[in-house]
Amino acid sequence: MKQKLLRILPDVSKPARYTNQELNACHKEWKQVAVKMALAFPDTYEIGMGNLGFKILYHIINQRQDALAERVYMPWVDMQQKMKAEDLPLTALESGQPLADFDIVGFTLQYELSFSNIIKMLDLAGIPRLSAQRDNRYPLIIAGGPCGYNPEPLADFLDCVVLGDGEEVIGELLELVKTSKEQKLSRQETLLKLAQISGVYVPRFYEIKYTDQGTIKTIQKTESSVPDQIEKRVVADLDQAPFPDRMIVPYLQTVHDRVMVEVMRGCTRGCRFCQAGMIYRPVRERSVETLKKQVLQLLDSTGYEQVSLTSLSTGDYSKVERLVTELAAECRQRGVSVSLPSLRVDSFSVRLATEIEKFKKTGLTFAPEAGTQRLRDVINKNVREEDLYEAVDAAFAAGWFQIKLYFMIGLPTETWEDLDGIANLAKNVLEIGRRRLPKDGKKPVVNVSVASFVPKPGTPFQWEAFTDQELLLAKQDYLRKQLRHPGFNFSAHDVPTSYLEAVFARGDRRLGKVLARAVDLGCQFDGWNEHFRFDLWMHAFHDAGIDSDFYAYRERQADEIFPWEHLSSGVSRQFLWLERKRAYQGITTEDCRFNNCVGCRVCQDLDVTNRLQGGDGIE
Amino acid sequence: MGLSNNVRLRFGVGEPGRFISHLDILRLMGRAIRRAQLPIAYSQGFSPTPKLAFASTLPVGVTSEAEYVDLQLQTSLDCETVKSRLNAVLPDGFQILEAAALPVKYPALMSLITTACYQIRTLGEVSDLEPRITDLLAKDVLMVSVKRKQKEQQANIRSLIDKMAYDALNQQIELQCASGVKANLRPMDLLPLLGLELRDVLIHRTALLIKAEADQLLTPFDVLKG
Ligand code: SF4
Repeated sequence: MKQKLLRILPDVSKPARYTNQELNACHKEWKQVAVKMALAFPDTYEIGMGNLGFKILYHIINQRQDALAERVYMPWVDMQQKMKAEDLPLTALESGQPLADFDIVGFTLQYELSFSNIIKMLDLAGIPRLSAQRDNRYPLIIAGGPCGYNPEPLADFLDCVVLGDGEEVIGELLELVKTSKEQKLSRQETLLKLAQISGVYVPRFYEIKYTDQGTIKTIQKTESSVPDQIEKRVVADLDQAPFPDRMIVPYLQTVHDRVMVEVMRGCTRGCRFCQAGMIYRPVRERSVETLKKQVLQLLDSTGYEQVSLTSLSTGDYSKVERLVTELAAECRQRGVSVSLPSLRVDSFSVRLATEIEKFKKTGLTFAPEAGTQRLRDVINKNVREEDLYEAVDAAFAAGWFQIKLYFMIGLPTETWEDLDGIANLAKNVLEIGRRRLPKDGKKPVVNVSVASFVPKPGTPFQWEAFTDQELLLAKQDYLRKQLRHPGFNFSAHDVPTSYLEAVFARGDRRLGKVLARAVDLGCQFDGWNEHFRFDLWMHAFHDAGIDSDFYAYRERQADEIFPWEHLSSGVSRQFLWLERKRAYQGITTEDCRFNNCVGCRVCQDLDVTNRLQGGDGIE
Repeated sequence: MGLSNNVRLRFGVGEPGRFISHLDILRLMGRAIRRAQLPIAYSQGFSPTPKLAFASTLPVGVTSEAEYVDLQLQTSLDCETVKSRLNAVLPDGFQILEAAALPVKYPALMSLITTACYQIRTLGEVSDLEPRITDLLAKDVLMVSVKRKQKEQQANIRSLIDKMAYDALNQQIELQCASGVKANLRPMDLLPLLGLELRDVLIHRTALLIKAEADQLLTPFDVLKG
């Protein structure tokens, strides 16, 4: 098989995607390991290699004597054709073993538009698509990640879904699979046992009934031993959590091709549209000492020239100044640069960025998200106009000349004035740049990037309707016209793509038929513009007899049962509803990290707390 | 031999290293040097880059035993130490084969290289390659389409071929051709003229050479002995 692979490689694009043998990859003796798990990423090698969660799980699993983890990515279209011609199944990178020979295949659910790739990967591996069609001859197909809080469109394809922090569950899962193999349990018996592990959801044990209107009537478990509601698992103390001391260094350039450390997990700023800000609660920070140790170890074992301090909002890390200054000093000696992936909208963050990025090669990015104070209050994005101006002023003064501004359109309560607000902010930022930057030097550039708001499960806006596609296009045009001047670059997210994302984000099991049909029709790599075929998707909805607008455009009733009602991130439905009410009243909610608990219930129900490293006036 | 601030290395590229681009190799060497904790010198300026100078870009898909790179170090090191420390940390498909000290001043390697030698091994039986080669060499004009700056172009490559012969015993073509900044032939561009496809062959670079006086061919290590 390897020989066959080697022969087709010269004919495919970026062959190094498929060759493996990268530095720090882990190769174990296939026959000597009891449980074999493939970590499957439903996108290209370059995208998948940048995923930190994968690196953590790869490390944890391979540390065990009795288990191995290998990687598999979605082959690019040209490779798929060659594989078909040569009759090659999808194989894992490290051993070259067919995916079908593993005990477990674990997919990551990062993005709704990668669902089609998951099914396509099963097809390429020759694994039956449906959970009901698979017995012990086939691997368990499991999944985890942010879309796991509503995996229902994939419910028929997946054997189980892990909710919450994977490092908490993975050990129990491997143990169970190992013993069930030893005891030769049937697939059904194994799944029943898996369902008893806290945080593990087995879709087949829940039955969904629908009303005549098409909404959900009941979600009932079909086995008494499984929980009524599955609650996510949480790492209580991130500082003690396992983290890799070596990371795979790819031969070809990938996304985030650098040392990555996870400064903290969770964010409690409480932006009402943001799923990550709800599902990863509470905030758990690593200590400066641990982070420094991890960075130096990883630099030694990889030779990388760059370090990235990742989290949802690294500027909020309570010891950020100390961490950045000390790391930058240490790294400078080694010719290594440090980068902050996410900047808060304030001058403090700009000062930090200035400190570490002596060379202002790329622009600075800020996300005010909405154009007026009114709308920012609605979405609880607690950024004031002055904060933005101060931040960009500091950035221009420090020598940056390119500013990127992120906004969302189609937010609840949005009016045309809010769009004027976006244009005004952008114009004022450009004006500040013109005043600040020396006349004879580089001219300021403001990139305005506009995404369409997609209501996500588990957020205060989970009840909202997705804005009509025509209206979104009109709004994009409206902004494009206002920003058609030298100094601006305007870009807007593809509307049909967002529409499909909106359908699947809050979809239910009935969408499984659509997914299967769409893949049959040739849909894959939907997140890639050059491959996205909206017409084929609409065809698939039609064939399955399902109205996509029902999922995208319908505002949900206050008491409607959601397809994910039985899956919990720990944030209570009452809290989300209250937050939605406050949104419509324009009342903001404070960050519980720096103020009192605002009652989302994660801490009480999961017995955890925000764990900060002190500083910034906490405790 | 001996201590030096400037070291010339010859390295080999095998599987799976042959599948990556020159830019990838550059990055890979930089990272290996960091892991080996060699005191490499960095360029001045805002974004410091390690001082590495390669002799040539190896076409993707080609293996080699004749790649060269010059390193500039901040302190003197024994050449053999540099070699062994790098070999301890290089990923599969890369190996340092030889190391030598460079004088304080030396010309950029890339500007010197004029010639390369390749072995093109055919996978499986290919008959009448020998007459096909004789035919080719008898012609004055050999037009092939080559990619230059993303565009397909027709070019006459006859003058770029120095020697070509078929070694029937080993089922491989021995090719000596122009290589370098002035004139360059990518061996794969020749394949269509021979009725071959990239997937039918394995191409291996055996030498990178410098044309000296009286058309004498020297390796980048020979010139140091001068
Ligand atoms: S329970 Fe309270 S303190 Fe804990 S994350 Fe929710 S709002 Fe914050």
